[in-house]
Amino acid sequence: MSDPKTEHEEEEQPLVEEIEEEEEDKEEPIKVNNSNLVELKNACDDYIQKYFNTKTEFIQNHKHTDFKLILGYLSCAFALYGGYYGQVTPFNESKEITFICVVVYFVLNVILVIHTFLFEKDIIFLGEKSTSDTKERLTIHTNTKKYSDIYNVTFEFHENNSSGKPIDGKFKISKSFGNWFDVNGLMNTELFDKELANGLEIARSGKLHLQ
Amino acid sequence: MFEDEIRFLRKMSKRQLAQQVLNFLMIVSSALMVWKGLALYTNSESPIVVVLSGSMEPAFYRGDLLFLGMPDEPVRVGDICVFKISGRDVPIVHRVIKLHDEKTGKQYILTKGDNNQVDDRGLYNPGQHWIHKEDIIGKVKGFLPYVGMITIIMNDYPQLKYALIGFLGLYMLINRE
Repeated sequence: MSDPKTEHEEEEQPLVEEIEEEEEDKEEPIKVNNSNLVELKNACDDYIQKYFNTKTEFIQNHKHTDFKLILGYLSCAFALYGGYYGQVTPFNESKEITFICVVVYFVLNVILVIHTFLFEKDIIFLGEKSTSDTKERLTIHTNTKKYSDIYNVTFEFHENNSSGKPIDGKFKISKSFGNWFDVNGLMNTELFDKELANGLEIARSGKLHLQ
Repeated sequence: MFEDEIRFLRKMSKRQLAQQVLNFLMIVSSALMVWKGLALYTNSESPIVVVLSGSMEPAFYRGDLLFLGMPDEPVRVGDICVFKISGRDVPIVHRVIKLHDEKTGKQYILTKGDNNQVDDRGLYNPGQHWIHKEDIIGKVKGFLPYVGMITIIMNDYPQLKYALIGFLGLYMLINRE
């Protein structure tokens, strides 16, 4: 006759071990080259996206990235097809199709550039949260100036709720990367998390702030 | 050897990986489209060629880069043309020395390299004594000395070519600037 208690305990153990392994993966420290501003900015941008995706209830809207990817791959498809067609047919016959492919490729690329310049600009995160009576939208812009170690993060918050009055909040942090990276380039995720949570709360409160 | 890079690639999200691959494809596509655009503009299937032999010395030496164009006007004696003999892939750059024009516009062309002792009839297909405008890829419009040596070296040592493309590709995939 088996003891139900010990059987239950034996089953629980493997489950606990699996969760521990996952956490170890996630907490692998972020290390970048301290002197490379591009690496610093990319690491922070990536972390912001990860943070808002996992530690808040916002769902990321990938419309800008998807648009760029689709248009990009489409233009490459035209380019590669045009190149392939030019290889397999004699030059004089391939002239029309090659011309069309070249023109389409450049037109699509121009559209891509215009889209990035006019619509995407410096947005790195677009999140939405819908509950039964509110709809919240969070937009995060980041930028840095050349040769400067100051990282600017702008939180834009917009809420439409059933009471009818929309809430709009904006908050900007301008701080040096040195606040979250140590001499070896390791990111202090707790400190950075606090900054992000703080920024979100202030933006949520619905006032316009600049630090 | 590439552990760091592989770990970096694995940490990326699907979209980021797609973006990196796209960056690489865009470089290839842009180069291809610029080349094709140039071919369409000059009306020549291969607008830039490298001289491989010394048969046009002292005008062109092995390793020179030639810029071609193919205007609609008829070929004239004295033009330096790049032509392909039907059935062979390697184009030849020689001068036109003799010409017969028919009223229909069809031209019978005889070529010879400046540095060769005999005309090109020995190079044409057996039984062929003339070439025609369809065989000509383009007329030489300009040239740059020595620059083409890079292409010659890459073709003599193909491992160099693959190594270069391999490293460039890897660099593009990893780099995020």
